[in-house]
Amino acid sequence: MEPGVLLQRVGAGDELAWEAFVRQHQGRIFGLAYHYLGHAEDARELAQEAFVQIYRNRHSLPDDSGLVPWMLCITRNLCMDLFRRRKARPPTWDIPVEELGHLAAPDGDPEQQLHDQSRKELVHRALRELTDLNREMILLKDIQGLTLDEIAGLLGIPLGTAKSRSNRARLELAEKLLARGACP
Amino acid sequence: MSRLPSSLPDLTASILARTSGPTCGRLRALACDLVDGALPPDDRDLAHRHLEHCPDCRSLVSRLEAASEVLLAFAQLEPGAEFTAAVLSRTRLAPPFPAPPQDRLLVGWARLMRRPRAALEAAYLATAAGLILSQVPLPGTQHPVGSALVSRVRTESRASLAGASSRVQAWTTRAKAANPIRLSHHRNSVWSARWSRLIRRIGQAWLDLSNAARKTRVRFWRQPPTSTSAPAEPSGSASRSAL
Ligand SMILES: [Zn+2]
Repeated sequence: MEPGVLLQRVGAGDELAWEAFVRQHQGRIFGLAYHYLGHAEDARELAQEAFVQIYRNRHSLPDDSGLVPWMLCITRNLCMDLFRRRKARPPTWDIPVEELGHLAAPDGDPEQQLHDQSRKELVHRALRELTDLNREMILLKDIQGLTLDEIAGLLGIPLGTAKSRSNRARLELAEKLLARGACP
Repeated sequence: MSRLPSSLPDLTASILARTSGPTCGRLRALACDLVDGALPPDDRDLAHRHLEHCPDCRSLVSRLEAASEVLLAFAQLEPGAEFTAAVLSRTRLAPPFPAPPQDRLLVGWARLMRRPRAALEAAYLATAAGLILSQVPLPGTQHPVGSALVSRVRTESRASLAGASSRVQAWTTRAKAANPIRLSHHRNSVWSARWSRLIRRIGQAWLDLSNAARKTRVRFWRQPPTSTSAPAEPSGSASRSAL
């Protein structure tokens, strides 16, 4: 089904379309929440709340190109609210690294899988060492794939600032990897 | 010079160290765009030439490339088998989407006006009000309010009230026509433009109506009937006069 058709049917109140919509986007919403919060259970709870908010606005969803940035914005705002409401507790990153992402094909060469696994492990460790500001930039641009324009809009900063922050964050990550010696 | 450099790259490096600025810093500033393929061809060419001879910058760029590739895989995480069902049960309980305030106003008005007895009820209320007013004496006099009030209202506000009420009638007709069964909130926005135009007109009509009522009240109480020597209006009767 075309994404636009799915959106129309969600907007028209089709509950089956809504279920398909949730399944299609839940990995992304949960992924963003987890990388902000660092706790799987908190992230699950928050992602559910994000879907409730999306559902309440289902009659006026953005078009297909604006949908993902809009949903990520809702999720990020909920994360920021949570940080404000409760004293932020230090993230524990309690999802095992092997369950993060789907880099290797499941039926791929075992040696290749091991290699991919260790790359993910290395990058994830380096990511956890970044400052919050730099990790957020990596999260929005390099993980979620938002454009610099979309990030500037989301964070309310000028485009030039978004670009320089993004570059700084990526360089910091690369340096963390360098400091660990191995190339992922 | 006590010692010759042992290889060509070292020679280049030592020349650069003595003649140029921080070339690695310049490469660093371009590195992200290089990895993203966003550098203009000339800059890309110069960057590659630097990389051929600078192992440190090569390491940096290779980490940037590897990180970009791995990070994309972190975008989606599996939230667990129960997640979808949990969302669906929460959204089943979520209250229905509330119509925006302007739509609610319009729905209410259209529903009211669609009642078959609405006109009859309005006429009944107007008659009752007229009867009551004709029996209540004007403060400080024996003259009933009705005789003075009704004649003034009739003469001074007929024109403006008629204008306002014809507008109200017009948009009522529209609300009913545009809204035959029930209003739904449309995403795509020919309708929403029409709604907002209609709402502006409703607002204008309401403003006209309330202006007319205020004007009438102000004129009436500012010039009390000459046949009476009414004292200043006691504040306690203000609420009744507002009727
Ligand atoms: Zn260099």
